[in-house]
Amino acid sequence: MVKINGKRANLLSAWWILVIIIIGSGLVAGTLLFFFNYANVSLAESEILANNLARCIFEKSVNANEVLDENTDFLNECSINSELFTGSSRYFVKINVDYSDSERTDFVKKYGANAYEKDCEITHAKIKTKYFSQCDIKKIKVPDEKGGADVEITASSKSSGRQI
Amino acid sequence: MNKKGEELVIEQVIFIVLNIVFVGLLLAFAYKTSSSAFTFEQRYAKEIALLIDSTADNSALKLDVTEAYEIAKKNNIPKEEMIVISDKEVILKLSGEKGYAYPYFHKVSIDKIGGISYEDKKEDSGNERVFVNIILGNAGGENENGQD
Repeated sequence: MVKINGKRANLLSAWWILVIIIIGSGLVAGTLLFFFNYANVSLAESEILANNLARCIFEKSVNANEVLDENTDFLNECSINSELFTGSSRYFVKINVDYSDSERTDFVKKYGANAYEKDCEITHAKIKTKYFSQCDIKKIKVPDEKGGADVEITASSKSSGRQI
Repeated sequence: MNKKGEELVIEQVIFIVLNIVFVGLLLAFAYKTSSSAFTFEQRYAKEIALLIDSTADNSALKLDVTEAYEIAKKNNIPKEEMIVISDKEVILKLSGEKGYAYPYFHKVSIDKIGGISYEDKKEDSGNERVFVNIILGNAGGENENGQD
């Protein structure tokens, strides 16, 4: 019990605690509703990108009976808009081809913002990040008459629309 | 209860009521923000962009856009201006102020002839649903009928 303005008052009463809980819950709920208003679809987008590339590389390689080589423009071959991978891109794609035979040279081809490659290591370590790009990795085995190749596709996207 | 006690109780009650009104206003604002045109613009733009990305060439998409249409109707936005698809991005406009654009990476052409159309459908329950049909050509600009 303390005296405030000459009146005795309880600083910690049940009413005060109830009021603090009501205000606190309201503030938390309002903040959560406001800030979780944004839908981050980066992971879904990178999964779709990786899937599309994997399917395209496999089908085109099988049809040609040879794994696509280093001179292939993978984005144009797979109906992906290459303009989105230039300048300040919000996408990144890495295609790593590891041939089974020793005659052909393995290669890695990258498109888009190389900085996102580091983000993949972070997000793959299962660290939750809201503002990092999200990655997906697909590994496929492509057969051909020379023994085929292991192809690893890393796709990354950073969801960002714009108000106009 | 004596007079001092009565005053104390009234003060506390008024204080609690004011707090509840404040919290109610805060929640109402947050709810209004989350159900505003911006939220639906963002949601549908991303949904359509992801659908375009994941669909094969020469396909057709059909999406229920009833909720978006209701908001556009309230803001006097005609159906034809609600969804615009350029060669790079999907643009949703449900209010008179701004729209929301989201890019897609799949190189397709949105067929100029009947590329985007709307369909009204009445359910058995009597509710009206609005669907958008989007025809996707291939990157060369042809649709499945071979038209440019």
